[in-house]
Amino acid sequence: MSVLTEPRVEAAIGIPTAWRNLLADYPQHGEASGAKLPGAAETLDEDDVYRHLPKMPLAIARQSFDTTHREIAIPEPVRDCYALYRPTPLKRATRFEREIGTTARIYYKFEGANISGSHKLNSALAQAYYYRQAGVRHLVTGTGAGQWGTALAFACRHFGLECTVFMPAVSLRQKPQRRTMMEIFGARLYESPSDLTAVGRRAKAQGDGKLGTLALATGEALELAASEDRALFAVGSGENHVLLHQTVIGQEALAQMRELGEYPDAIYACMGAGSNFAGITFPFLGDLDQPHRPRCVAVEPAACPKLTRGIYAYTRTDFSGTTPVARMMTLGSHFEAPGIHAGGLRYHGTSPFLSALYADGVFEAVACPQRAVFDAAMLFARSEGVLPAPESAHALCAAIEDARRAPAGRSPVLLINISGAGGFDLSGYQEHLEGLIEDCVASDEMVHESLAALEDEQKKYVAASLEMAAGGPRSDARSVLPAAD
Amino acid sequence: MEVSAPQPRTAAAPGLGTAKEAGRELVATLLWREVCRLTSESPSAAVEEGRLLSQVVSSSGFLRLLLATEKALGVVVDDEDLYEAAPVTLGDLIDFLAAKAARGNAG
Repeated sequence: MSVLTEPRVEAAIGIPTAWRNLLADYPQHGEASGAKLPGAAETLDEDDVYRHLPKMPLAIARQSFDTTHREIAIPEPVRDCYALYRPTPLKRATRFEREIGTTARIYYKFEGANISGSHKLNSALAQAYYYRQAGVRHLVTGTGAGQWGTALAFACRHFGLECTVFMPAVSLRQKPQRRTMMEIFGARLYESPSDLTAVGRRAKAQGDGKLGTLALATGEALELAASEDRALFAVGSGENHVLLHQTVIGQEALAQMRELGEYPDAIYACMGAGSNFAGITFPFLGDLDQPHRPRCVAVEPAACPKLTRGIYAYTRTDFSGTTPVARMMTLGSHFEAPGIHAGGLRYHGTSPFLSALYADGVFEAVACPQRAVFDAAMLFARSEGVLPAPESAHALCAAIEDARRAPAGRSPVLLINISGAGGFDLSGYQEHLEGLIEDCVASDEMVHESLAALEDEQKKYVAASLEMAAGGPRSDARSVLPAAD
Repeated sequence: MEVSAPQPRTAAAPGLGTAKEAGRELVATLLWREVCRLTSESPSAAVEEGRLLSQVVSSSGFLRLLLATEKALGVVVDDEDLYEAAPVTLGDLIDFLAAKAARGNAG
């Protein structure tokens, strides 16, 4: 096939005017996705008036809890910023197909061609806009691999907010240039665990978290945000509003595939807490014009297999226990995954809404070991001229397996979300070239130990719930007792 | 639903206490209904306006409570107004929402 005849869709579609709210299609998960366990869930200081106030702008809260509207308008200032890099390209990977030797038609959506290098900018811009509108002056966050931190740093710069970022030590050592990127936009970056917060100092003193985790970085960010007037914590994945903001990816992909006369049989995206997976799949899962849903495959690292080896349980969303407890597919908030290069996928749990959908069987999951992921990334880079982030390469890894199994005479259509570029991950690629990369599969011992602690945690929450039901001092959502799972 | 007469309140946050009592009673009723729907509070219990909000709902529950009540009242709460008012007790929140409803109705 000549270059000229290869399918390519880039600017033929416009930027979406609204985000796609899948919660309106699954209103039964409106409570589950926001449900937090009462009692032991929070550590609020009752004398601190400020902390009784919402920890996110009401405009964002309204989005997070909206089970009514399928579409939520994107503010024009946010669309103006999206125009810097959207719509993003969707292309058919014909050379990659030939390298694999498949009859499948493989398309990829590329989210890495913006200043942050990933899809994270889609929500960072929206959040910075809403926080600014709400009178907030300073956003604080934790970032796994630095993509979210970079995106938020840029968005804060654009909307006139201060920005502070905590990043796990292992990720920052792997990608030191992330510091430079964030500092270009005026953000302050701290290696986590740090000496700046009590959470960080405690983790250091206890010998926990030498590598650092996103849950620990989040705990530090929450503490700093709580200590300052007009400072709030911003989250880069997992929460409903973040999933919502990312749906520009799938909406564009849907329009682009329709323009090509194609529709995916299967969609692949890597799975951390779930924002890029939701971003590409939600518009297809909620496509009312299509009688059959595509298979949606979440691909997680074998180092942090929360979907394939975790349980659906209540746990904390951060290491420190500052955040409310949420029900999710998880390995437990103290699970410290091996220091893989896909640092953005080391989070211990998956978004509550996505976890509820997974429990319903709406999508499936597979886990890939690190060497196979880098092999897939190398194959894609060499054939398509696009260097994917190690996180995104998980989607490629799973898609290759399925593509190779495509039966003769059939040409299934596969859509892969390449959520980020791998320019900051060259040290990982170099290690792979030198044969130094290991598979980093979470051991049975690690998983069992963490799940045992998580089961003990469940007993405490059940006891707290019963106490609340009997008229204890504080309560929250009602239907919060864990089911027998 | 039975709602007790307004109780003596703890110190009100700045900018509160401007609602007309007639509107305030309705707000108190709607707010307590939402509290009971979201929590294990008994609908037959009296509204103790001096209770700290943090003893009634967590911060995430507070968001749900606020959004449900603004929907029931047909008003839209503004972030700046809420931060300015900084309600501490149930009574403070009733005052804040009643003032909002009164302004909304007037407008």
